[in-house]
Amino acid sequence: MKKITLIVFVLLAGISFSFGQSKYFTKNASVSFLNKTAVENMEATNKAGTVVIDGGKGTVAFSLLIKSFTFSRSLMQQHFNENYMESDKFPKSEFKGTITNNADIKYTVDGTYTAKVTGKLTMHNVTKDINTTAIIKVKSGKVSATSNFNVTLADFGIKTDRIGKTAAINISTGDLTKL
Amino acid sequence: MKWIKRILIAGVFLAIAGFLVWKFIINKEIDNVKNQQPDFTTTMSDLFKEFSAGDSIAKIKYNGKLLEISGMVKKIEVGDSATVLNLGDTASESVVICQIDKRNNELAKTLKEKETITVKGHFSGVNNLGEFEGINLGINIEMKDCAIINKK
Repeated sequence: MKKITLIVFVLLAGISFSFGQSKYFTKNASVSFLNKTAVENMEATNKAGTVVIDGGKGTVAFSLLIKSFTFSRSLMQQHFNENYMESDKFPKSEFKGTITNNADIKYTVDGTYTAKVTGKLTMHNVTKDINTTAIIKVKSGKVSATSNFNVTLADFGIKTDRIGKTAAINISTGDLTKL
Repeated sequence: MKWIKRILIAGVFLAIAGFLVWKFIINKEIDNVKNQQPDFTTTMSDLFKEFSAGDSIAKIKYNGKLLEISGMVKKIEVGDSATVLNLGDTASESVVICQIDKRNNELAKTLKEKETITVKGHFSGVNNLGEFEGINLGINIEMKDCAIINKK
């Protein structure tokens, strides 16, 4: 009897552990930026970001196309792609990192968790270390994440002679698909 | 007195020219594609085949062009200002992502998953993810400034 109890316990523990190891992804993360200048703000949104969070390994990654940022004004869009991001030469931006406190995040338990994220952001063909936080929400089995951070454009080799020196980046994944 | 008159006339002309530059160049909105003639008309399946066969050739062919594509809605995320939808099937994770222009959002908001639709938008590129973080995510063919042309 004791043996059976132990086997059941081990199996249940295994199932519970495997739930925590799920991967989550979306191809419709919203990524927006705001660059403030004295004359006008440059801002745009891209709702075609791909984000993957591996709950087991505690890794996080995103990938997006620069040309998929949508603007309301055509001249601003042209300047962004041609003069600043040079999106024909450098079409993608990617981030790969780890959640350093992944053990604190219960992907199967409703709650709001603060994830400490560290990793490498590639933009304009330059890769830099980024340390930030993300808010991971678990609600009724659905996992979503948001993160806000600032980047200094000169660090990525982006000209800032006629625009603000930093950009505020906001990422919102919406509900992630569980694999 | 003559020179004052000349300066005033020049000032008026400069003000009009400045206004026109601001209105039609600096502040010009992105064109609404709804009633524009597409450069290419195709289907979601044909696009996937084309990009699988020769990614770089297809990228050059469609770069900045206006595409009209028919396909099945795999996923839709309705937003008050702008909706985003993915065309795709269950065979793979490859999708055509369409970011709807907020001026064309009303019809997009009524769409349901598995509906077959025709959508028009500017091709903004292809994100060939392949094996990304241990998951085969296929490709994202991305379009923006989109408008729904019809739905079945």
